[in-house]
Amino acid sequence: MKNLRSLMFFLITASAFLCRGEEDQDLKLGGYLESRMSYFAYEDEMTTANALFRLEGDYDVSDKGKIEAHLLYYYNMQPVDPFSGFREGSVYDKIIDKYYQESLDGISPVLDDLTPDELDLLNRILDIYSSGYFDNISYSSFFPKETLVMDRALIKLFFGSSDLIFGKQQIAWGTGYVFNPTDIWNIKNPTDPDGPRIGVLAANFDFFFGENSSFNIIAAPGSNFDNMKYGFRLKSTIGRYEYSFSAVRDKSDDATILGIPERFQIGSDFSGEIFKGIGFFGEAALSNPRYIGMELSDTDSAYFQFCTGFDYTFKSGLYVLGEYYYNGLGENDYKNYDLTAFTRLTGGVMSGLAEKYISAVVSYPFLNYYNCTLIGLVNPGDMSCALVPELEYAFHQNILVKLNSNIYLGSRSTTEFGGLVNKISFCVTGYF
Amino acid sequence: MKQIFYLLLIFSFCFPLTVDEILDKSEANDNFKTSVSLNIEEVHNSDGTVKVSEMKAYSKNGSEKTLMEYTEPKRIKGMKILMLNKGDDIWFYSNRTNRVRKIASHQKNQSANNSDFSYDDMSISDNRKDYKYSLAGEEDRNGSGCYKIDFKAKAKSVTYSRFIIWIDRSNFVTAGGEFYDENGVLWKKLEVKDVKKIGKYWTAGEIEMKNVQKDSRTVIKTREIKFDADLPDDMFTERGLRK
Repeated sequence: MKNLRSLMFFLITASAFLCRGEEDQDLKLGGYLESRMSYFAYEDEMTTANALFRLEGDYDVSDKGKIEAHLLYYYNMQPVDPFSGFREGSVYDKIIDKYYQESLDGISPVLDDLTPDELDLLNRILDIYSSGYFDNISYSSFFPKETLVMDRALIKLFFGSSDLIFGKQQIAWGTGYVFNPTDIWNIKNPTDPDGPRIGVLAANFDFFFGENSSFNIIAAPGSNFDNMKYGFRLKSTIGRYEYSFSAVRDKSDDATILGIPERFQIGSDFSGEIFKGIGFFGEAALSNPRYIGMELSDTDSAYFQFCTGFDYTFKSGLYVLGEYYYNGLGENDYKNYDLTAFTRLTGGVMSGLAEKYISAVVSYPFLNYYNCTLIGLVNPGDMSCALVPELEYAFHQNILVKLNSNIYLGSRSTTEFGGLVNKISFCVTGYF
Repeated sequence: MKQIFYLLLIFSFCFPLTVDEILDKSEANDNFKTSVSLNIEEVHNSDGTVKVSEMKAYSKNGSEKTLMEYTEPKRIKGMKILMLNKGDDIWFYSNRTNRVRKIASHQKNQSANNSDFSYDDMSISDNRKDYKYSLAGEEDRNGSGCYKIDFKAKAKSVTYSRFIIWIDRSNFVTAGGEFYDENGVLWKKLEVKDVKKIGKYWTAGEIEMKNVQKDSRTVIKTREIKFDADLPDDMFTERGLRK
């Protein structure tokens, strides 16, 4: 399977480069190669290395249509256990332990029915797993080493005053930088707000009117009609302010697997400026989940999320941003961080375990080629904090070198960020 | 007929142009319906290194609406900047994230693509609204007689505390400028070169902005330019940015 994937990747890449020879103005090829090495500072100190290759192809069929395909190929030289980012004894560890315990309790009646031989085999497998055997194999196939993802694969059709975009595409809703409560299409990592987001398979219809107003309808199908996300967004401008209103129904295959119920959400966002120059933005979403047995009109479980913030660039080039996020589903007490909260976090229903967050970004370019950035994310409920300092160096116009780190502060066992593993990464990206 | 011409010429010397008339005539140079140009931007850093970018620029109604798209280097290829209402409203589009973001005023004084031009410099903002201005005399500049016009900021929020521009008397094209920072210290110098008439319009072949504080300079060279081609209105909208 892995060989087949590699072969497929090779064929696509090779054909793309062969096509370059006959490249005309309508066909555009580009992309980048990113190589990263990371050091995780925890009990079992660990280094990882991975590479990401992105091939972007755009073809203008005519003024009536366009085809875009972007391919991402991840190669992990040393595969990373997805749970290795949590420290032992952390709140996440406790959630996972509790989950395993509940699962074991659930299957114990089944174990009683096993024959002694079957039980012996099961115990031996569990022994091997619990010894950490799989974790210590550098080139293990237990966790995927290679991943091939079609990030974009879409056809755009342009009509008089409307566009239809059909296929896997990037949908970006909301005006927040670190948090986007109105965006049901993407799962965002608040410590990496500019990180890549994988496209959404959807039919996206845009109707444009006035100078900069649009009405957007999106439907993202799942494996059946029930697991379908759909909604609309009306966007317009008043004076120097842009604003939008949206309404969506959110349910997907992933949400079903995680046990997240369908939800209906209305949202709004705006961006503009205050005091003649300070950027001011915000978004708010009111969601109503429908758990099993609930009627559509039941609003007992409705919750509210919003974020608001400002940004400003000083004449020296120093850029500052502050953002506040209120998460109506979040908890103020770490003891209430549970599996439900964890699945909501991983399922993208909310962007943190806690109720309130304060984030800040400071960025400063210097000496023509350097840029330093610091992202800070504070959970005031448990007084933990994530700091992401980054130094970027433009080695060449098409080569960027980055050194960054994730530093988590707070009690390991009682806070959200204190339970995560500190790391430092070195990354080189070359564009073509 | 000739007599009327001479009479008008004598009248023009008797009644010199007011500063508003000079600025009106200068702005009238940008009176084209549309323009499409391919430009090369060279950033000469103080350490001697040079960064080169290439961009296509589309303008409509005398630069009231402008769309710029970077085509080189590869790292920023596909990035677009839309300026409407003479640069009062600026949107930025990143093709990798498919995100359109409106730039707040505070970012207009920032360097565009690490060059010595700010977003404000690249648009044709209505300076008469934000600055007090007066005719400071006439001077020769690169062998041409020029009007010298002095602009002083009405409020601190604008990019420059003061700037001076020289407008060529023969064609009313801006020949150069000096720009001062908030402390009144010389910050940038503008030099416009290779001015020629293409069709009905006077056009600069090369514009240089020198940052005297950083000792760097940026040169924008117009490689190709076409006027009055058909450009659809929706090109200058958010839809156009995403296309």
